[in-house]
Amino acid sequence: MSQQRMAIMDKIRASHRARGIGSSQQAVDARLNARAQNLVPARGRLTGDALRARLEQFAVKSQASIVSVAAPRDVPQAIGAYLTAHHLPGPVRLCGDGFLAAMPWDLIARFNPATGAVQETDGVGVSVALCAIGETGTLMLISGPNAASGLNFLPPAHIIVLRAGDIVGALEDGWACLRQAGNGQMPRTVNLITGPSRTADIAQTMYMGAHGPKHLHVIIVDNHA
Amino acid sequence: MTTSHTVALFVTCLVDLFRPSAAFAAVKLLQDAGCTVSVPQAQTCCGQPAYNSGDKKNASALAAQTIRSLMDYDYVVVPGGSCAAMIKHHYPELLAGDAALAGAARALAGKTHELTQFLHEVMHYKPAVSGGEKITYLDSCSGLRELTIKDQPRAMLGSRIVENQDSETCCGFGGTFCVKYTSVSTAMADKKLDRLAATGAVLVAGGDLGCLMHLAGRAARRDMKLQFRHVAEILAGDDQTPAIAAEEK
Amino acid sequence: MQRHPAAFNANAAEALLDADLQAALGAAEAGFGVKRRKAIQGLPEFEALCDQAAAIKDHVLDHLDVYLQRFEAQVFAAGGMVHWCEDAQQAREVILKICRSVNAKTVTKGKSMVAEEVGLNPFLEAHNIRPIETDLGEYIIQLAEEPPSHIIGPALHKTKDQVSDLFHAHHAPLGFTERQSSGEALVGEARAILRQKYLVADVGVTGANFLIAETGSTVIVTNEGNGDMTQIFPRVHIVIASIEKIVPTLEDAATLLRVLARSATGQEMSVYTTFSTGPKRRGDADGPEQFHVVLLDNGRSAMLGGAQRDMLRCIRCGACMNNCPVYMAAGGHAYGATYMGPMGAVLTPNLEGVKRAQALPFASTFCGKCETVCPVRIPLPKLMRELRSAAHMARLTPARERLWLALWSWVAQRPELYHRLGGAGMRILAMLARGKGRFGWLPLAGGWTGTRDFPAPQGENFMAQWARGEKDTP
Repeated sequence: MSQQRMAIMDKIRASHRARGIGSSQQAVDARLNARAQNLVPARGRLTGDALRARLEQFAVKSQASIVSVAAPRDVPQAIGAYLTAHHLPGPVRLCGDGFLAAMPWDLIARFNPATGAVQETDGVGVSVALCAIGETGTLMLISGPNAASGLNFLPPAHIIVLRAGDIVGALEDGWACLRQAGNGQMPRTVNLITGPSRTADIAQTMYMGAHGPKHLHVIIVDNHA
Repeated sequence: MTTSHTVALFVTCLVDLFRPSAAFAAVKLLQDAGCTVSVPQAQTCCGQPAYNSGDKKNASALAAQTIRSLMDYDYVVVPGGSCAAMIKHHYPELLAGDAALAGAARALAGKTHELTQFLHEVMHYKPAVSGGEKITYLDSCSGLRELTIKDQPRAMLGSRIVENQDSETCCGFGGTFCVKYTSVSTAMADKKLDRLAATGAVLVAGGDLGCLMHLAGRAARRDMKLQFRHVAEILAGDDQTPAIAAEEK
Repeated sequence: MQRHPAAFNANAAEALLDADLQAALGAAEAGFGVKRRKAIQGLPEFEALCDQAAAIKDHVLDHLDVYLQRFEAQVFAAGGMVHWCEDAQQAREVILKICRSVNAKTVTKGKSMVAEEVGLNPFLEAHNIRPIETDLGEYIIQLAEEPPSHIIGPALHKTKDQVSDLFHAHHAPLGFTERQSSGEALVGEARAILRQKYLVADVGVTGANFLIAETGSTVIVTNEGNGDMTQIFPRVHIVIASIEKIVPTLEDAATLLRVLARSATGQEMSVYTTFSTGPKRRGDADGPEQFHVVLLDNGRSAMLGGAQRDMLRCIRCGACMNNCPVYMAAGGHAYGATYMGPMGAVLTPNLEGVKRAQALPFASTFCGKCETVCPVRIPLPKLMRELRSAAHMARLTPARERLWLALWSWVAQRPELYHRLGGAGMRILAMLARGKGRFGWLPLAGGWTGTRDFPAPQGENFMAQWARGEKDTP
């Protein structure tokens, strides 16, 4: 392997010489260490109510639905109401996040909520977002011991629980959350999700639920720890 | 009133050979606008066919010839967008390494203008355009994208203009492309012609003779009612010359 | 259709007679244009972001070897492996080796043009490993045994009816006996079938839109979620990507992501933008046990040193072909190569040689629309012209064309002769036209008169008239 690596590096350097330039470790390290932001568009710099409104507007624009509840204990019933309204069956697979664990799931026992490994037969997956990005109506979810990435994709309906305090303006703010969450270590998977799955591969017409979930529902919890 | 603008007309090979009426119209417009017009005799072709065929050697030779014939004038005016763009944008690039001519190429680029751009933006001249017949304008890609020519002819043609859909999509001429890739070129022409016809206008004005000849020829083959004229002819009030590819009356 | 760039003209002629294809292309052309315009209206900073995106890519190219080193180190640190491949064959063999090391029987695949470039699928099949395309467009063409016709929508050339027929033929043996005609039902059928494949696959192969040097992450962008299903469930995740896909930081990725989806499909963001870094961490609820990045050169390092370097900025958004009237007339298969449209017309001669692929850079009117819409400011017409020049200098262009060109240029450099010949020739032609104003046929002008009438000149040329002072000047 290292022979091919050397050959490729040599060719790259030869090409640089042919153009009269030379690559620089300092220049690269400077950029990597600085992590400077480029232009952040105005719509990524909203705050407060305007930011919240934009997240809601763009989530809906991406064909997701989005609601708010006052407190964590209201989440299970909000899920139950959503599933009933859309005629979506359980079982409901909960990710292992502690935020969900404390909620009264017995209130929607009829939908068979449970943690554990995601099954093919699960009807609904429930995840907790690391943060949400108002600029594009995007939810950021990361993998971990209590967060299976498969949960975001396998069940036909996906519900993302989001703390109101985790709403940020721009992608760049999302990176700040990400770096903080892992103590500088990246998780295996970072999913930036903007709406439910879809395809336009058949005659340029949009159909929902290509492989990932057909339904994406976001529940914002206003008052949380 | 003394005329302060000495203009060299760079006719372009297509206008010179196939449509002198457009050149005479251009001369009239420039004179009416207050210019003194010269037509340097040592001009033939701007070299674009060679340039776009990858023949830099001949393109450079023709560029050198063109530059030498035009460099002494205050302004150079061209009744064609692609040739004007050749001089303005591609000559400096082509001759960047030529110690003798690089500076002259840059200087010439600075004072070369497409006809409608010159009349509208430099001379602020608006000819009185007679007649009420609707006109739709054929934008040429090089004029549009290399020289930002879009508003100027429309401003001068005034309220007679009706816009055609997807006016910024290429008509399929593309110089030698139109005879190298005939089937694609013709398909593109057909799409353009259908959109021109859909405006309800019969008269099509354009600033580039290559596009006009390509479309007029295809329209004639398809027995379409459209009439194609160089924009200079319309602005100069020439309604006697038969339209491009049209029968003499 | 011939799978060779030299056949472009013949392929295009065939394509123009294919009513189904023309209908599909018409629908695509209309859709892409509208979506892109709407999306750009919603982001006033779009042009400035494109300038920054181009600058980021330029910076990376100038320090590519160092960035690749940094990327590799980060992949190692996260527990992954990096494999360096100079050409397609090495890439195929590396991937085969990894698949064999886990006794892989089936491999699910996210959409990857680089995998297409190296011919991965036929190679795996020849070695008894079944590749299963999961992107719906790729799945469709896998069934049809055709190559992709567009880098974002591989089955863009297919009508819904054609997809119905394909699915009916291939899915009936799997128990789907009824022919579906609604798009929704077709998608549902594909979803049901592919669902099983995701969960039993031994290996998942994805491409990468970006490789992040800062973190050692690979980034994919999909709307379906197929790339995600491909890389979460199997034991082994292989990423195949070409070396110029490097992006320095997450911040730089943000800039590029902002212009990518907008340029490609008019979306704010693709539905799923996924960053993958190494295999699963200890204790993770799911994820692959192995993570391999296969880096492919295949001609890029050479491009870096020459006049074609700017092409390496390409982020594979497809905007150029979406806006190209030649592509929209001839379709992607006419190009006879992995990459199509304006970016394919530049990349193919660079990867496959000017001799083989010169027809492609000539198949352009230089209308410039592609350059206008390119989010990383690639001067596509200029690069095509350079390739034309390379073909001309190597005397690869047709001798007849070079002859006429040389003749024209020779005469044009002699103005007096030119004007005299021109004057005489145009007078003769005008006479022959006999007032009809045009010719239905002219010798030596068959390329024109085959489909168009040839406008007759008006008589003696302008320069000769002017010289004789026919019109007074003050």
